[in-house]
Amino acid sequence: MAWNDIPAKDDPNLTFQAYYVRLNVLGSLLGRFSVGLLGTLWDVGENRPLSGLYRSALIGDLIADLIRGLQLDEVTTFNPRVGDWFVHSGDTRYVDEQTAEILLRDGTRITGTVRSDCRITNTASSNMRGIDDASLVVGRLISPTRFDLVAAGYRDPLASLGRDARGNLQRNLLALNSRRTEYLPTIRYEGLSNEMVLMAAVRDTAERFAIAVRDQGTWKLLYDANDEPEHETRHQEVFRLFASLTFEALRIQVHPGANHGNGPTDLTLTLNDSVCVIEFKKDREPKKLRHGLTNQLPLYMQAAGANWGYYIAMCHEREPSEIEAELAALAQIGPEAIDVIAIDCRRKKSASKAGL
Amino acid sequence: MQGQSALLWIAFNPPELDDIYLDDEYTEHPKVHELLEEIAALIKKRGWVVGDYGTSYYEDRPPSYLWDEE
Repeated sequence: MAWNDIPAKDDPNLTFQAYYVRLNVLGSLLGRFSVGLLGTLWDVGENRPLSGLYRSALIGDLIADLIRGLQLDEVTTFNPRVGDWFVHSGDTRYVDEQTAEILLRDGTRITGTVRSDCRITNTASSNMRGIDDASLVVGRLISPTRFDLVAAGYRDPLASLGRDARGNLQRNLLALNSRRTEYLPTIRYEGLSNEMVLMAAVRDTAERFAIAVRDQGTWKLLYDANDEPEHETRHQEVFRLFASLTFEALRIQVHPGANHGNGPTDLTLTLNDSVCVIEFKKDREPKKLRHGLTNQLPLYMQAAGANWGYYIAMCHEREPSEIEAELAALAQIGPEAIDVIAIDCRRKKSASKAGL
Repeated sequence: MQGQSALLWIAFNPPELDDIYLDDEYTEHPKVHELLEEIAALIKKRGWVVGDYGTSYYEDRPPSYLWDEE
C-alpha cells in the first residue's frame, strides 16, 4: 500500500504523474483504434514546449484508467503468475541505472530493465535511483524472476477525493470527470465521415471492454459486496473508463441517461451530427434481454435520431456465445442498424483456489 | 492534468490550435485498416451506401434518414 489506505485500483480519483513509460508494452492493453491514437497523441508532444508535462499527463491519465479498469493489484499482496500485470507502491530498489528490483512476499526478487529511452521527464533518472518508496510502478511479469517495467510515476494525494454530507470520503468506484479535454488536441480523420469514426471508436472500445471483462479481471468490478451482479449503471461506468482516451481525443460526447422523449438511454454518444445509442442489459431475465433489443433500443434510437445502435448483453449467468446467437437472430428481423455483443461477465476462479 | 499544470500547458499549447488531421497514411495502418474495413462491410451490408467508406459516404443524408425514408 502507498501512503494511504486506499489501493490505487479502488481510488475513484486516482491521478498519476508518469515520468517513465514503455509505450509499446502499454499499447498491448489497448484496442486497434486506440493504440494508434495513443501514438499520435504521444507524437504531438515532440519538439513542443513542456512536452514532458504533456506526455506525463497523457500517460498518467491512461495508466490511472487502466489501473482501475483492470483492477491491478499490488504485487506484494498476491503471488503473481507470468503474464500478470500489477502495481507496486512500496520499495522499488534501483540496483544501478539499468535495473529495478522488487521483493515479493514469498522472498522472490523480480528485476526489470530500466530503459533510458522510456524516460518522459528530465527528472526520471533522479527518481529512479537507490531505494524509491515514493513512486507507483506498473509492471508485467514476463518470467518467474523478470518483469517489464511498464510505467513509473507519482500517485497524487487524495486531496480531490470527494466527501459526502457526513464528511466521509466518497469511495464511488469511478470518477468520470474528463481531464483530457483540457490539454489534448482534437483528432480528426481526413476522408472518414463522423459516422465511420464514431462506429470505429465504439466497436474498438466494446471489443477492448469485452476482453478486459472476460480475461483480465475487470469482471470483479461488476459484482457488489454480496457477490451479486451490480446494477447496469456500473457496467456503463466501466465501459466509459475504457472509452475515455479515444472518446476524449476524438471529442465524442457522452450523454449518460439522455432522454430523447421516450425514457433515458443508457448512453447516447454524439460526434457532431452522428448519433449512437448504447444499451446494456444483463442476462438474468431472458424476456427483458430480448425486449431490450427488439423494442427498447430501436425506440431510443428513433427518438434520438440515431442511425446506429449498440446492444451489449452482459452475461453473468449464461454462455455468451449462445446469447449472442439468439440475439443476432432477433436483430436480423429487427432494425438492421444494431450491433450486438455478448460479454462474458461470469466470475472467474482465482488461480490459487482453482481445483479446491 | 490538473490545476497549475493544466494552465501552464494550455498557456503554451492552446488545444484549439492543435487539431490534428490524420490522412490516408494513418488509416492504412494494418490494424486500423482492418477495423475500418469491418465497419465498411457492415455499412455496405446494411445498404447505407454503395462504394468506399470515404467522404462520399453519408454526406448528404441526415442522421434520421433510416427512419424518414418511408
